Amino acid sequence: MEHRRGSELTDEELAMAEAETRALLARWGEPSLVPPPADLSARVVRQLSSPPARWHWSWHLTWWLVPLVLLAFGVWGLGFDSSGPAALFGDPATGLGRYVLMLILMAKPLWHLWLAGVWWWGVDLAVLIIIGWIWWRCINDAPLAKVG
Amino acid sequence: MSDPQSDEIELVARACAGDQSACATIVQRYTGVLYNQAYRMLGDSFEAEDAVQEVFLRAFRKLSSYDPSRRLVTWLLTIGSNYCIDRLRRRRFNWLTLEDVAFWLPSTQPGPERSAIQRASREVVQRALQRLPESYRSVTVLRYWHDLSYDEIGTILGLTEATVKTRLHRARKMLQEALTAEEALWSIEEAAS
Repeated sequence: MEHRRGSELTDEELAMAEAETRALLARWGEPSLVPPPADLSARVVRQLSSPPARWHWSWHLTWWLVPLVLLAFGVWGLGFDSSGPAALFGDPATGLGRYVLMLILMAKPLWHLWLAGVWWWGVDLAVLIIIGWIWWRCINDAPLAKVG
Repeated sequence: MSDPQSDEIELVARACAGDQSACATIVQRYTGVLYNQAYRMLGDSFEAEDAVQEVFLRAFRKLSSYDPSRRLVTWLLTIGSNYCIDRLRRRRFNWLTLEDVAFWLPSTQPGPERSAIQRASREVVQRALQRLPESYRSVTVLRYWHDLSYDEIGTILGLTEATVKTRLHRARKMLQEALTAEEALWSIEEAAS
């Protein structure tokens, strides 16, 4: 569609259309080049010569960090005691320690849930591996069909 | 006297080898071109400054992939076009902040009358340009402000020469309509003042 309409113009018409547009722009003092800010080149050069930041905080990291922190606190809470890690951040009854304790208490049921499910997942995985192994043995041992 | 193309190739080779002065020469030489492209495409001088910095960063990051058979300016304008089009697409989803509004507020400092008229007339063309769809605006800017051939525009935007001609044909019509409308408004305002 675009091709047909573009090629409809002859070279003469194209030149005329170009001249008309240039004349129209000239009436408005265009095309003119706008001078860039005087220090722009210097700013760019400075930016280029400064070493790139190796690592910068990204909010996407939070999505990984929060569950990891929760899991770590959960392990601590399950393995040792719930108030132990919270005590590191102050009194577990007030202040920051209280929030840490809350995190541990939140993480514990998640861990319980995972541990309750991991047996079933383990059994499922073992069954899958055994079936796969039997299937593989059956295929390997089966005689090849004669072709032709 | 050295050929400009071989001069560019040498400059790029030196920049690739880590020569800071070659990098600075490239930046100084092409800041104006990239700034004008970004300014015409984005319609805002602050955004154009950001664009120039980002385009140079991208260019120097992949300078080793520069094809010496092309002109350096064409290669830089390709990166500039891609960046501006991306930015215009992202702008559709941006929330308006109070800072944006502050930039739009008219300045309280009165300037000389002549420069004010020049600025106003430039703004008229800028407004008309901003009315064009991105794909038409990019060909118009490259054709009339950067004086590139259809072939070069096609290379920069990844289009065939025929598509460039068609887009320019439509863009010209739109620009003419927009400028004629602005001209009518302008004369009414002048008659009133």
